[in-house]
Amino acid sequence: MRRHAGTVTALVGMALLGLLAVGLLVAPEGAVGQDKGKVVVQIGGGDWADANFEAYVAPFEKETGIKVVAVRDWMSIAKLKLMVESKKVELDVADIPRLHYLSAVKANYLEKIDYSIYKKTELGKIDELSKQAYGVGAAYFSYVMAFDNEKFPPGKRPTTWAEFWDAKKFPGPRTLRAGVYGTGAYEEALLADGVPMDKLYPMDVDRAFKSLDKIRPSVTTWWKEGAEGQQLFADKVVTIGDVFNGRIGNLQKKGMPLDIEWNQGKLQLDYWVIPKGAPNPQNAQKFIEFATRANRQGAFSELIPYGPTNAAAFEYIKPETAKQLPTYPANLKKQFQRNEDWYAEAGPGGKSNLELIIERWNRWTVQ
Amino acid sequence: MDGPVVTATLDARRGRRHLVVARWRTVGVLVLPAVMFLLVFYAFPLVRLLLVSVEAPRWSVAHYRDFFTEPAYVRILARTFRVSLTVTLCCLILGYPTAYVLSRASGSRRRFLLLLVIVPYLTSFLVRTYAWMVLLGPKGVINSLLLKAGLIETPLPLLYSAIGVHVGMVHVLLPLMILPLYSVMVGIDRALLRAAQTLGAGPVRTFIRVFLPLSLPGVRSGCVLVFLIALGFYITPAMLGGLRDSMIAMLIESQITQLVNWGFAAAAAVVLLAVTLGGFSVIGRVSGMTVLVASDTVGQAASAVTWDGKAGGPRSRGEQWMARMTRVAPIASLARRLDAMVSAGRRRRWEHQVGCEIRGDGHGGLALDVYASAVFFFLILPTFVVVPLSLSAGDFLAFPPPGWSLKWYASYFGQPPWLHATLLSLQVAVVTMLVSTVLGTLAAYGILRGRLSRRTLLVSLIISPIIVPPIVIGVAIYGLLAQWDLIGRFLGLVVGHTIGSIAYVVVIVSATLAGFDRSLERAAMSLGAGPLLTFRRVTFPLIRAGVISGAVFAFIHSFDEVVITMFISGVHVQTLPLKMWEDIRNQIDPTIAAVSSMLIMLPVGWLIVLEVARGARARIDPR
Repeated sequence: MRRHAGTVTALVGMALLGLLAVGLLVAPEGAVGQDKGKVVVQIGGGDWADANFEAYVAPFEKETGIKVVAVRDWMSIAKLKLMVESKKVELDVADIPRLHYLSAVKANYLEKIDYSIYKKTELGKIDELSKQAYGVGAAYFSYVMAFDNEKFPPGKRPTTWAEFWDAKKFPGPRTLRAGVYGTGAYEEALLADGVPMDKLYPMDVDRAFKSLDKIRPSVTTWWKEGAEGQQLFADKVVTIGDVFNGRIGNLQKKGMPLDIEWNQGKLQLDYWVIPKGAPNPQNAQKFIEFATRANRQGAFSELIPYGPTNAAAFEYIKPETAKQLPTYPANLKKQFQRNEDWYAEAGPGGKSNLELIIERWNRWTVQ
Repeated sequence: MDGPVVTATLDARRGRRHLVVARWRTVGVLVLPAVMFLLVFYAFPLVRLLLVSVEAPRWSVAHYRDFFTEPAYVRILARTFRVSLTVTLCCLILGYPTAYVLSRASGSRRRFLLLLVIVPYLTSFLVRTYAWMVLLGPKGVINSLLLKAGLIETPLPLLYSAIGVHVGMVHVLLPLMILPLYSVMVGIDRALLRAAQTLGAGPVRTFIRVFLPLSLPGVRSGCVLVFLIALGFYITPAMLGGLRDSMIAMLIESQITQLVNWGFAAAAAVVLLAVTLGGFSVIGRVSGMTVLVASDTVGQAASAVTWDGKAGGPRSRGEQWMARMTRVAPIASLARRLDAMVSAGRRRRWEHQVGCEIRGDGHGGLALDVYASAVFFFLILPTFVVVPLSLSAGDFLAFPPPGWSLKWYASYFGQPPWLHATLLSLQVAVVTMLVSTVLGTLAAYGILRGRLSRRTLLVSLIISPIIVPPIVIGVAIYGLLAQWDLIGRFLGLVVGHTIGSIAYVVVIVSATLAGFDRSLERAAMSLGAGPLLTFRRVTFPLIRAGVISGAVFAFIHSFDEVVITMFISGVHVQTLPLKMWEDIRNQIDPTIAAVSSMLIMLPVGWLIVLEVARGARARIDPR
């Protein structure tokens, strides 16, 4: 009988060791060792990541033979700081909003972009704001008001943030962005409180939070990542909210009855960047150059309606898609551009307005 | 755990007269590997955390001042306490009658009911919390059903609210309340109850004067355990709570991931640690007791499955605690007052009732059974709601599903990131299991058989990771692992998970070790076998079942770990729980429901492993 018990243990042990051995053989890390090397690219989450993968990652691998390790996660200024300061940089390319880009440059967390590898024709078409020393514009995107058409049919929906804030006149579960990364609905709150679009900055933070106080009881939940805001509409958890235009655009493509309002939209820009000390800087430069080509950006905009930074990309974008982009002239003139320079400015005590507003948000949430 | 330690001390004393005493002395060395490991990867980082929090060597209490002078943070601390207290109270109210019913059931019924408590305990808590998201959401199962029934017109705000946090936490923690209660209740001698009744006490009085005081040690263990573990909760409030429902663990996380404010995060972590460890010395008197309580529950969970009904341990422990607890004044006076209130009515009724009570089915019996059934239902069913949702043909979570399909399973098996994450988790868990089973078994043997000074201290060091909040461990070991270039490395993950896994192995193995007849070992020794040979030929075969249970718990701990992993996994290493956690935040597509459905099948697999181990043991040691 004892032999029997021994057999059981031995079998269990062998099964586990076998599993381990199989695991080690097919481990994800096993793919290294190609001549062309690799590049580790953080591609964000949800539809944004899918679009990045299809428009940039897969074609780049095909054209260059360089293996791309695509990481589905977001970069934040905090993660960048953690990596660079602890000298544990495992990423070669990430995209970060201009909001964080300016702080990252100031803190010297980024590698310089090598514009010498660009074709003149491509480089000439990339707009000036996108051609920064430490980053190249990846895409323009906007925070816009989005509606469930069944609850808010055309004509019976708010068109300004002041109306959005009026939960009596326009009842329904709402969502706004959480301020965890410094990207709260502060501008929207000020607009709702009557501040004109061209007088938002320097921002009156107290006034913004007072305005948020008013809408807070009507907000079902505050989304953190873009996909989460999208999910809330997909699951019909909310019927109205302040979310990224492209995420709603993709739900529309799937036939969901949703609409967006461009008026008072908040336009912003993401940059491709290389963290200082990236393990494969050359491949990183190549990837970014590839990802800012007109045809690639065109493909990207078809996958998720965000605006290209390379004007020539419009040659590759269908006219009906172009109308959905935040940089389409008719849409552009209704919106305002977030002033990231204000966020990067140092406030009282030496901390940047960005840091201060994150801390303020954290305090506000528990009130 | 008091029991084994005491037994071992007595044995050691007796052994002094024995010829082989010199050999036993060396056995204590066996704790060294585990102790060294924990000193380096657990105690040292915690000390470092303390130093970081005071900005050593500049020595400043600025971070603590910031913490305690900022009303928002104090509010978070107060809320953490309040939520933990409420959750503990809810668990007690739900758990006490349930444990009572459990302790009175017999044979296969008890075994079945115990499984209803243990299966949720072994199920990934991420899956359980996710199930509550699905249940409580505005378009979730509960709201959909209520809307269909016409009971409500707009969805109730259950998710993203304090209600969600409480329900989720109670569900996750309830097994930790029921198990210690049960373990004490089965040890209560029924003859005492019968004696009280034949002496004229009615059922209420018998309960208040006899059963309740005898069960108080279980109440205390359960409450302490649930309360302390609740204090460090991170995932559940983050998933189910609203803006206001922050707990201190979330504050620590946000200080690091949003502001990279290590000093402040360290200070907040030290506060949490101090509250967790220090909070106990207010409740209990013996330091190190907390961990023993915690470990008792784990041991109970394991023993309930592996060698059901062997209540020798609980009984002796119950007696020790009882002596202290029955003297607790306020409860005694409360009991007296209640007793006076019911005494008038009692005299008239007792003649009818005492007969029923002695047979064990009082008037309250049916109500109790209904109540307990409701609790078992609450424990086991919510998790299974993910199964129908995982079979949905729709693109988004909706209840009822618009149609049926296996596409979300196909989506799981078709996506390399999911498969890689699963594989990595399995690998890490297997290696963690092997390492911690070896270290833990050696340590348990050394603790119980060796002659150690400062045994309590060693036991506390080894077992405390069960109650120290994972967020504190995560923050603490990040720095050390970063220094040694182990962030995002396989080895780093194994180290992070082994800290906790050793504790589970030690607890379970020492329970088994304490439970068998030591004269067998002595016989082997007196026949000339050295300690090593004795261990190999006598001891190990006898404790094999315990070692296997320990290994299973070690595996589960690692396979389920997400908070420590979050800190040490680096950028492109993703374990399965981490991938699930990030996907839950990023996109709630039904792939997660498919993964969850597969994960809830795991405990069933574990029970089979444990059953086989038990069978093997029963054949060797038929008692």
